[in-house]
Amino acid sequence: MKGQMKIQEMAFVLLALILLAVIAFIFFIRLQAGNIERSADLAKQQTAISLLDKIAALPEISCAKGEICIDEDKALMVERAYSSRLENQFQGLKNVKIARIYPAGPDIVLYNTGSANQTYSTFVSLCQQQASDWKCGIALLEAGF
Amino acid sequence: MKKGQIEFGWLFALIIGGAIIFLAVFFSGKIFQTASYQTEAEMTRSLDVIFNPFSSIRQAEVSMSKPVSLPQKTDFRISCNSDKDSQTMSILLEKSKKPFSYSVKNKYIFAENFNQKDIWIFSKPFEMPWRVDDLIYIISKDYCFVNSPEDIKKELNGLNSSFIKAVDEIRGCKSDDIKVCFAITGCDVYIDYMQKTVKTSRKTMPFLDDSTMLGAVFDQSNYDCNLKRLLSRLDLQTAIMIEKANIISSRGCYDIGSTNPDLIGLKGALSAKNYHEIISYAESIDSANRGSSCRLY
Repeated sequence: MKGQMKIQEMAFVLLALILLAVIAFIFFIRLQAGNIERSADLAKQQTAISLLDKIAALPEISCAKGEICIDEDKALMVERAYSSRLENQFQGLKNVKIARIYPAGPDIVLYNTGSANQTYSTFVSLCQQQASDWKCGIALLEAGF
Repeated sequence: MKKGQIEFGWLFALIIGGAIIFLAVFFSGKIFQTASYQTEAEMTRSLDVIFNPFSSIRQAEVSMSKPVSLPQKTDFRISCNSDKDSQTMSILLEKSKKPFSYSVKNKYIFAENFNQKDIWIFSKPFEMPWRVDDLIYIISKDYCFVNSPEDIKKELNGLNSSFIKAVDEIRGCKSDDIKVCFAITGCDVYIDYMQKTVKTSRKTMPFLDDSTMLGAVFDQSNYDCNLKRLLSRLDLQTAIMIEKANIISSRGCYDIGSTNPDLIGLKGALSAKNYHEIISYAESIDSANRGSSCRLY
């Protein structure tokens, strides 16, 4: 009888110990997961910011040498016919579009594989080449993850 | 209780204690492994982010060069797959562990595998005739360029890299440098600038301009694959340029229309993989573009 009591006592202590260990382990895992999520978000943010600049400089959509802008004619060509061939340049993104601000007009969708969870954007000049100069407007280059 | 007989309580405590210690060691090992894998993943992603400014210089004829000190000695490997139009970077921080691999599709990286902490990253635009993209070179060995043309010598010495120097004679190089020679034999790498080839003991590689020449010097393993990827990209850009020339020509830029036969010729030369014709058409387009009142690129 005394021996049985002792075994029961020990079993309860062990159970409490295991429960404590499990709680501590879950707490640790949550902490680790939080850290991983934070660094993943930071990596995504850094990628987005550096990618926006890279996208704006893509020769397939950028203006001629010396003009820091997006060529509207080229961007429309990419939207119409070359988006799939350019998809590797948008690695890691869900969509990329140029939203016209002034003058207002329809968006130019360069790449779209679904709706994004988060979108980063930068102001760009959207220009059209004329015979003697460039006619420019203001737009937002948006990259969605 | 008989003498020599272990009490049940002790036996029970021993078994459970052993199991707890085993589980603790097992899980801490797993957690450590995850942490190490996380560090490798973070480092690979960071490298990719670091590479982005090197591949979007915007300005033509400008090189960007920076020393990079990795957080620790790193085993870095890179491979290339032209069918998938991508490169795979693998980073391993500790031996006997699984490396973290990351696929890079939007860059052209020329690098030999290395296992060290300090490297040099340098990029240069590939122009044929417009800027197709910026090529990224990761330098981890000492290179000595001998008897190079004056503009290349000036550019290489201007990088101020401890890994690269350009000298007039072979005796200016250190014995363990990789010697890259122009019109001089007896070096590790021989460049025939007129024939546009880079020769090593293993293979001969054709190049199109100075940026691809450096790609062949710094990374013989991935060179052919990266060149194929670059030419495929140039093919896409040529199609866009043909349409663009037609559009601006219709807006009154009549002289730019004269580039169209050469642009079509360039597309044909790209399909035929005729490197000499690609260069020739590119020169012809560049000359017409420079002479035009409104530029195509």
